[in-house]
Amino acid sequence: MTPGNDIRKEFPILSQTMHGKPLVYLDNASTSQKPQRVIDAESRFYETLNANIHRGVYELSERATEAYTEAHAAVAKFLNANGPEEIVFVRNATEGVNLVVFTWGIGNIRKGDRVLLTAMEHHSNIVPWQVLARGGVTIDFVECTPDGQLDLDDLGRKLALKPKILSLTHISNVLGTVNPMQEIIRRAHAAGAIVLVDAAQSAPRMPIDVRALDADFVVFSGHKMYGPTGVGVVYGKREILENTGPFLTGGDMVKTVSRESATWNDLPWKFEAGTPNIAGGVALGETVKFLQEIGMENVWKHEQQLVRYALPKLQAIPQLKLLGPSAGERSGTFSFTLGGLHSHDIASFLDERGIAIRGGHHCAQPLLASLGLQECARASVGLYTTEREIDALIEGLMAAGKELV
Amino acid sequence: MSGEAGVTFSDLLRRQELMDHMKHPRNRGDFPDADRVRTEQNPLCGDEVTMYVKLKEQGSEPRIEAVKHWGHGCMISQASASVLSEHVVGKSLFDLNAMERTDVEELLGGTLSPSRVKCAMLPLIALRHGMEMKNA
Repeated sequence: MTPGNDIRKEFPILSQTMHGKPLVYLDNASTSQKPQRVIDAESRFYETLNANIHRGVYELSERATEAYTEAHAAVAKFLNANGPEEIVFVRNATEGVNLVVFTWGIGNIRKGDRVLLTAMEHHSNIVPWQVLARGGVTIDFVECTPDGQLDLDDLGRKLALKPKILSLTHISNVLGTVNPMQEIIRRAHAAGAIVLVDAAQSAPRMPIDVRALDADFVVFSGHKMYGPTGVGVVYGKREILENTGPFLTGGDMVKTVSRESATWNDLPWKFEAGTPNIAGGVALGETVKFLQEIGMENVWKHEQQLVRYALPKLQAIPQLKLLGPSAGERSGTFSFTLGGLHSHDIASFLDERGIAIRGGHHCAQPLLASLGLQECARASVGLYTTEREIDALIEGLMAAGKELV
Repeated sequence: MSGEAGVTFSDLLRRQELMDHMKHPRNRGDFPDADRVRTEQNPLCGDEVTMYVKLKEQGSEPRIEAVKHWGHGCMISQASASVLSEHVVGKSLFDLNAMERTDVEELLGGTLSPSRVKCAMLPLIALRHGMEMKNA
């Protein structure tokens, strides 16, 4: 199995037509399509394994528990974590950031302390921290350079303010910028800050080794990485998770309960209250196995080939202004404006050609505001995207430029 | 003008009359002495439209005498604001509330997808909410 044409047959949705044209799906930064084996893993759970976990002593419940635990182990392996106790399943990356804010954040960040974010964050990595800001915590932002890179000089200035935590995206969901995470984490640790990595865009695209990165927390969503909706991941270093109080409380996250108090369950279950999305979790385990069989280095290589193919063609379109890095390593997420057209008019125009791209603010209003924009169009590739599909996009944009501008 | 099912987005844009509203919007601007002012936004698009209304009393029900509009956004929301600024003259709040999605689509000359119909309805919603207010 190799990315590109060869992998497409694994994704049933890609054989559909839209408005009579082959579907060209270029909204992968928003959500990705699912391979048949992931869809099958989810339905097979309901067909053959369904029982509640950590409850019954009967065989079916044991099997369900084993499948769900095994999915945590598969994700741990995917991230090169120490073990499944460092892997908490949540609904999505947004819930992951909230988990960190409401557990480690509430427990360790006091009035007068600082939190450091960057100018290129998704709303999901801004708004949860604003809850702390209302309690007297200051939020600082590392600015971007004109070429859409993180300003590493500004990082130094902001780290000198001694933030408790630096929470930042690995890859920008708008600019396609790949942040030099290893260097950033090293510098943050040297300044005494712990680091949360928002890997929502990087987990589907490139290898992530949490131990090599020395990340303290990593969050991402299953649905952006060819897995099901409704399940995401928080990786946390074991010693940090052990010393952090629970998030949601209730069933399954406890060991003993009296009328007055309770004691917490072992990791990672301490952070998974109530019956979780068991089938989705099991399917996420299948998803990371699928990705490991392809090899994340091959997924990234394919994306880099598409970037080299698409970038000069996009830049050659009259009146098209590409955002983000114009050279060097970047992801295959291309945001742009075209001759003053509104992005939703571009998206509607391309939709008639079967091409799905995104318009709007991409849940990054502060970033767009800093670029002097309210909205922009965005095309983002996946591991099944082909050069022929890039050609269709380019032709569509040329036509939009001619007919609409 | 009548809304036709199956009219595509680009067909809609090719309609001379509508393109004319997009390129040369009618009643663009504001009334410093408007009786009603209302801004509405569409969080999906970032579209923003402000409708300025001058009223005349006719019986017990105030009616729209003139409309100006200002804002930014996609072609559909801007064209709709322009088309509506002419169409609603003489209408009351009751008349505005009676207007449906299909009426706006008919004014624009085609059917719109559910997400794009919100763009078309934005100026009408601003007019309705503006008319519901007691004072500007």
